[in-house]
Amino acid sequence: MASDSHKGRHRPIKEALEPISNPYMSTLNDTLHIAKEVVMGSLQSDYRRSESVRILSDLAPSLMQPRIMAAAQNSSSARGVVTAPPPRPNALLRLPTSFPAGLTGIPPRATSNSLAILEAVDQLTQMSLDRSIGQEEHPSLIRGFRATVPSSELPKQRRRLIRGGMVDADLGLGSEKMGLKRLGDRARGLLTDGADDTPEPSRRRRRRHRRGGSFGRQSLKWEDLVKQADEIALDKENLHVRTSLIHSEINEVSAKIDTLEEIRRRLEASLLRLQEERLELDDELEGVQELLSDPNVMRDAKTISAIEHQENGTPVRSSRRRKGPAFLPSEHDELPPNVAFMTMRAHEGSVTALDFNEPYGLLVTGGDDGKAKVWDLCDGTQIGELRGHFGAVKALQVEDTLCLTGGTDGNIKLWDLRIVEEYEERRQKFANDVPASPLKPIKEIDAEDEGEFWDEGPSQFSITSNLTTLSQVEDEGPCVRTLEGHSKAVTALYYEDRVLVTGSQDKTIRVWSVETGRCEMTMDLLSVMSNPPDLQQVQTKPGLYRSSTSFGANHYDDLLPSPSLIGLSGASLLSAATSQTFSVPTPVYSDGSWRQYEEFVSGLQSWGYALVSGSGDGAVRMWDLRSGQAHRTLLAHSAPVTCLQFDENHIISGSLDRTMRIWDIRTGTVIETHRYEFPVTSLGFDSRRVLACTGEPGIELYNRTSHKHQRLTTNGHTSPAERLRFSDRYLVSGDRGGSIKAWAL
Amino acid sequence: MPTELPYAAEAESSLSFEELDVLKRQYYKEIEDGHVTTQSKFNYGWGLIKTQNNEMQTEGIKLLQEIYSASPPHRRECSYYIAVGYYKLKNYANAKKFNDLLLQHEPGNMQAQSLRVLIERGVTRDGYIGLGIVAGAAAVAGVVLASVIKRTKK
Repeated sequence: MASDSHKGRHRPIKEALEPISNPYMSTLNDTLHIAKEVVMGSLQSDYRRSESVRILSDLAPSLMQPRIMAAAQNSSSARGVVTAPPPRPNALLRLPTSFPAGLTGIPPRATSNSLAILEAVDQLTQMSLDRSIGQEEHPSLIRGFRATVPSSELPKQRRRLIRGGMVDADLGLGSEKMGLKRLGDRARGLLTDGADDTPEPSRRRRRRHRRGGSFGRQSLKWEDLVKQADEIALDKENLHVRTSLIHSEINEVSAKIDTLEEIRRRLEASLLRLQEERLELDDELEGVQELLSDPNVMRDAKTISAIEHQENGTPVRSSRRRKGPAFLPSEHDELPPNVAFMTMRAHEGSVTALDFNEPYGLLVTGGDDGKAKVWDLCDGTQIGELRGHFGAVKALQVEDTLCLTGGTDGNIKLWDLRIVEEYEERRQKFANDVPASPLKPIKEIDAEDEGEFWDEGPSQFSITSNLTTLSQVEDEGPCVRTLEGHSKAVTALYYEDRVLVTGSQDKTIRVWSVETGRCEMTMDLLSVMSNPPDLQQVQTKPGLYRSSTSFGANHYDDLLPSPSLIGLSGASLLSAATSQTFSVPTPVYSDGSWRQYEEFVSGLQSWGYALVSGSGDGAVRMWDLRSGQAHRTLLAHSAPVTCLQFDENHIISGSLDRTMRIWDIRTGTVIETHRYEFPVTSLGFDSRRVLACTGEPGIELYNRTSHKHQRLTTNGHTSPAERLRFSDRYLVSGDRGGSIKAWAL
Repeated sequence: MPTELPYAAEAESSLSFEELDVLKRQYYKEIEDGHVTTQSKFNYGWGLIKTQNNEMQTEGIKLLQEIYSASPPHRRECSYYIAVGYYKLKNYANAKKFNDLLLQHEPGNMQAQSLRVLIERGVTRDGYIGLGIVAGAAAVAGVVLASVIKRTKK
């Protein structure tokens, strides 16, 4: 027997303890456990037997009947009759069985757990106990404990047994169950007098009933049934508590799921941010590598212009295609993002074109008022004006200090922006001093100036100067060359790597060599349109054209004049495109205004021998500059294409059909279409975002990584934005009211 | 809800081994399944505190403290049980700390008030016992000293 071995092992202790335990225990009949427990309670490892005995003896002296004690002792070892020690007055005021913690401050045995809980105490006591309002009431933990503790099931089982009429064959088991039930009742604080007073008689009675067999049912006493009913009510209540426990647990789990989903969303967002950062780094690396391969990294400040620079044979990328971080002063980082921080009143009438060479550098703007102005982006002041075009400047590009402009007069002019300011001053001065004949003295001084200028420049500039005599006669200003050839307004212009491509209202695209000033190639869009060179057009579904409405009921025989449903039928668009003078009204802008749209070619970009154009027939064409052939036509826009840009993978085009489309270059298909309320007039993109003017004061910012749309409105335009250009985190935009805004992105 | 709180006396009644084992198995099973319900954790923790074994009580307090920090709605309730646990460990300082936290928010809580009385009683008794131990040690030392002196004299 286990108790024997216990006895044997603890014999000396027992003997030693006997004098101590004697006063407590009247009868020393197998009291080893009790003795051991009382004296060394805290060191007791085999707690179960001592536990049940102790509780019973401590707290429920009335239950100290031998049978129950035995049952509580568990069936295994202590079957003998145990006499309970006399009840002590207050269980909580027992002599401490371990060294008092109050003296040492820590529990007697400092385990890792005890240290851990003590460590946490300070932190826990800082936590708020305030109940959050609106939180539904949980069943209290102790209520849940009482309802779920295993003994709460016991009455039910017992009832089942009774009802089943099963004979309780094993008395020991039965009484053990009873003991457990009693324990459970007490654990639940349910010391009902009925259970307390006569547990034994009722059990005996029941057993008798069961022995009685068929008479069992009738002979169940009324009190028993009442008790059972009470128990059932209690069980039901417990069940209710458990139900609400599970409900609250489910609620908790749903709340956790919500939290986790929120966390997941945030993680995904930060993943996107990382992705954006990666793209930014990619761009930066590309930019740095480009610089590395450039032998002119130590750029001499005296080299006069991009033209000269390119003589070294290193292809210089157009600023419009320049990737990577632009040089931005550190103050720029401190500006709040997506806020316009500078405003310039530039033109009377709409801004028609704008470009800057670099952030905080020089900005050139063209307006409907026929003026082209040069601005210093550092302080937003006007440096000068580019005088030379008859009519407005519809297209322009700034490349370092070289500016190229295309005007409604069909001419293209090249300007040296460094002498604009000086010239402006001289002009001012001579206008004041000699108002009678201002032209002659300017000429003289200009000749001097020109001399210096050419000295610094490379030899071929002498040729250029011959070519530009006409413009010099007209205005001896900063204009260094004029290219003539287009019969109508130049509406698009792209310059890269010494090659200039221009598109015009005369429905041609011309390729120029800037060095010689000669037109090297002319591509006639009209002939391309009448003889489609490839099958692309056939493949495109005609349904892609929105055929329901037209640009204006007055212009086309369309019976749907609703301004919100403006689009051209394929046929009418083609007829407009092929007519002598291309002119269609734009859809209305957000302010209700509209204008006659005449720019036949208005999106142009080249890269090496690749050229992409967007034109008035709504087509995006990809050209090969070696052959001058359009090898692919992308049709999806149902109105003139107003702007486009491409990179290695995508073409993004905007159109008067109020959409912006992102094309996959390899497949030639639209992969994304973004619809807006108003016509798209200008756009630009880099690897991370697309910016577009969509006929509204707010500028559309589309995040390509997170696919989120945003409108830049803070301190923004008051009339619809018309043109924009951006570089890295620096954006300049112009609106239909003639205002220019500089933004931090 | 606070009226349901058990008086400290209830904490002195242990569960049977089987019952505690059921609670323990339930708790560990839920750990294995990856989601521990607060109730199971509390059941096992409270079961442990109700034992008479210091290590188990400590473990129980640890579980309840975990609930305390993780589940704000149960915090008040838990502060009481933790106080009871510390009381049973005879760490009266911490018992008082947690009990006072509850009393701060629910000054009229009968259970917490009675626990405070018990804690105070425990503190004073510990004081006497400490005194007694010191006195006893002094007496023993005196006796030993006396016998030593006697021996040396012989």
